[in-house]
Amino acid sequence: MSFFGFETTLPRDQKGSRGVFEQHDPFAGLGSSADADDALDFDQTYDGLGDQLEEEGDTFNDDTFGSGMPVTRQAGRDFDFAGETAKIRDTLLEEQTLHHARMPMQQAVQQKPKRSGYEAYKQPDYLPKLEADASIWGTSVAKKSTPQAQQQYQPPPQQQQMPPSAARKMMTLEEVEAMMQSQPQAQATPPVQDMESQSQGLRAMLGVSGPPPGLSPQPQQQQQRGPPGFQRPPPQGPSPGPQPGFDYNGRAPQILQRQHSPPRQQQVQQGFQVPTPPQLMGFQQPPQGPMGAPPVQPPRGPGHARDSSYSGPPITQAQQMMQMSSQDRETYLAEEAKRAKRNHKIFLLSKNNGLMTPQDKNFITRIQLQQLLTATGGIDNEPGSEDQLAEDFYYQVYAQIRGPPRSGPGQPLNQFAQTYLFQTGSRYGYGRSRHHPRGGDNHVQRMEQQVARAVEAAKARPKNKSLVMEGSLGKIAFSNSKTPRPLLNIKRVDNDSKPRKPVSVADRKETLRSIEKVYSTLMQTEDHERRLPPPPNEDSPPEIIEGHMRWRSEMAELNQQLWAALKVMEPIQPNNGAPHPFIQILSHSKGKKAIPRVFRHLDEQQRLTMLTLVIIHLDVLDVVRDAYPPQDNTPIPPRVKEEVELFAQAVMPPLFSYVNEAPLNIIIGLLGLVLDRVNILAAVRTKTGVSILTMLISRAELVKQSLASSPQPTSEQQEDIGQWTDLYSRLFDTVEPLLPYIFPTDTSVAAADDVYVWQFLAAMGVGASPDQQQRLVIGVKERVMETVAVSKSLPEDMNRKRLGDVNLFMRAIGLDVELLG
Amino acid sequence: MASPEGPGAVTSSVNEPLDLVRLSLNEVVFVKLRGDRELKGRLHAYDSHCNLVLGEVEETIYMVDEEEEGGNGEVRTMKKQSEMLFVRGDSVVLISPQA
Repeated sequence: MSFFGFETTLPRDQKGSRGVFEQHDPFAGLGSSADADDALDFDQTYDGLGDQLEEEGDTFNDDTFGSGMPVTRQAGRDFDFAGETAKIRDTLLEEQTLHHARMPMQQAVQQKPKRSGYEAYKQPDYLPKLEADASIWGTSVAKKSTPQAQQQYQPPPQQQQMPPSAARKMMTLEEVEAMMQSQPQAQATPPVQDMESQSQGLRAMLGVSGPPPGLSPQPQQQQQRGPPGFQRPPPQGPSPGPQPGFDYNGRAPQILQRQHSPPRQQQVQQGFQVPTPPQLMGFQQPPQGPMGAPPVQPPRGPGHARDSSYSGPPITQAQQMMQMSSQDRETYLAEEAKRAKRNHKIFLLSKNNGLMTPQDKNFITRIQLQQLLTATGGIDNEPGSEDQLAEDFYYQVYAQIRGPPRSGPGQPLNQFAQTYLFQTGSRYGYGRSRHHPRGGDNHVQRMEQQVARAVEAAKARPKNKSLVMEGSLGKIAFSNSKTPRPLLNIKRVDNDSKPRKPVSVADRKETLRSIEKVYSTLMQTEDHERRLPPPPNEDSPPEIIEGHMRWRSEMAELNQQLWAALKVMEPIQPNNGAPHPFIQILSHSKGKKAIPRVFRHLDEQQRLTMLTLVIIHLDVLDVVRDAYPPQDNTPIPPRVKEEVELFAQAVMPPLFSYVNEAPLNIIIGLLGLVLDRVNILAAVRTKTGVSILTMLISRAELVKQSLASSPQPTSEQQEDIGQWTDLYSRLFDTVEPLLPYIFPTDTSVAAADDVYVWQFLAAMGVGASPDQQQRLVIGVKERVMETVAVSKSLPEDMNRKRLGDVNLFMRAIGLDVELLG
Repeated sequence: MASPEGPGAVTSSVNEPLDLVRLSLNEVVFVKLRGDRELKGRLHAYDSHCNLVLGEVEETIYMVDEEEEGGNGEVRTMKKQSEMLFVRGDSVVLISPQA
């Protein structure tokens, strides 16, 4: 048996007697099973030469592998060619030197260094790691083939006297010699000797060999046999062939075998005298020796018929090498080196071959795929879908704000899956189709099917995360990595079944609860808004129109819920100490922040109602009540200031935008409410109150002016204008005594942030009659003069800003600060 | 708004204890922590593990000086101000609204 892929079959052996191993070819079985299940592309790692192995050629296995144990038929995975070869390295070196001395002509070729991949093994310290472990040649493995072997094996007569007790025992040197001595008839003709050695080898392998003990050793044989293992062959006649470069350590033994084929004479003699178990012989006695050149297979096996630069006839023996031209020989040697390197690489790569069955691999692949799919919680919907929103809400909103999402989060998954498929496909499929046109891509196809099935399964998975079994109280929840299964799932009551409590004392907690309800409903509404179906046109199929209608009705319902949650329509109880619930909501900063978001979803009527409610409660708004300047002119607390700022930024703009489009009669109505219901004294001393008044007055003035410029005002319009003038006069009369006090008092004039007051004064001044303007100027004259004086001491830009503020008012009444000089 | 519920929240009716914590969102809360620490700050966000995000936080740490051997050392307090804090939920002992 050759581990190097050479055909070592002797011609005589090929005639038919392959012994027991005709039906027991371990490599053949391995090869076929590997092909069958696709686990291992066997032909890529193994060149198929094993099928042609001649099993009797294992005469020197133990020399090669350094084990006295019986040779087993079990092919281990960790052959140690290199280690064993390195053991005989010294001999090889000597051999080479010797050869060089004899064949100086070949120097050039031989000494050309070639990288074979085995250089590392020359290092002496590299050896111990690769020492063959005798245990891998287990002793009991080969037993199962015994019956078959016994069947075919015709023991020669001289062996029949072996006691069965000697079975499984190695023949010692003495035993062998004794056996030889006691059996002179063993000197048989070569066929007999062949058969003898064959059976001997078999018995050695099966562990049944062993002569009867107690026979005396033969002294003259002693000299030839050193310790078991390698024994340096004595040079036996001229070497017939060239010796390859020593870099082929792994291959050297065989080539040496060829080279040192001893002359037939001696071999025959030895064969006659020594029917020894092969493991005791040095490797100087290859079995093919006496029979002439063995038909060594070309080194290029069918498994790797690759592009070979050497295209000459296969080299079967050293003699042929002699006859080759130097170029051919060089090419051949290079080819050999390549092959050795490749074999070594394959050996390294294939160390773990066959560890995983195809089922294992499929299992792993399935796990990977499942993780791939569940990594997103089984959500592989199109971007913008509800599940995706729930999964990654803030990113989705951000993406919407930023523009159309280029690639939704669903896309990476598919891309990834595709890439995954493509890569494995190319790796398996391409390599496979190149080497195995027969098997084709069925592995890849299976993978694709698997992916498709997995995706289908993920899609088919119930979209809602829980399943309510009929008649049961609980829910079965589905979990994935992102949303673990909730252990407790209490059904929520969606509709408020409990009777509505009278809002007698709207306590703080109730208000907070209201605010949260507003937010919940608001978020639902916004969510629903995102699901707006494409607007139907006349050609739309009925289901689209129907879907749109359903969307609209749901939207209306949500709007009602939102409106109810805002509690704007709660009855106003003027005698109640607690403010209106909506005003309570507004008193929290989060309530204020909700207003601009809520306002978008309200219709005109609701907006007006909200605005009206705010204006009726102008004096009880927290930003008015709390911001009323204290008696001792201490600054208002920063928390209140923050609230005022927030109100100005959050609540005012939507109200302002509504007022800016309101007709005059609405303004009149609102201002009338302010005058009738609101404590103007309180409102007008705060920033918020003043701002709201400014908002109303300025809008009214704009409308009045546009009406006045229109050519033919209708009677209604005339009526409105008259009504407004009355209201304005009332307002003016109310505000006039407060004019000196409407400026903020908590800071000095220099640092005061009073631009809103000047805006208010400007709005008042625009609509004022000349008499009223006079009164206005008188009312705020002090402040004007003070501000102008103070601003002179201020830095340039501050100065300009303050004067500009004052000018807002001055210009409204046709004056300018410049005139004050 | 720092509302942890996302878009899926249904109602504000109280179904679990944390729904009460929700009422304190954006409000000043008092949080007692393990290790003799207390926080007072505006609750911006929370989750089911009681992980909290607080703003404008004042942290109070109570420490006992162990120099005296009787163990009857004085309790010192240390105060820290933080603009924003993430509090890991496993150290939260109680959350109380600070009206």
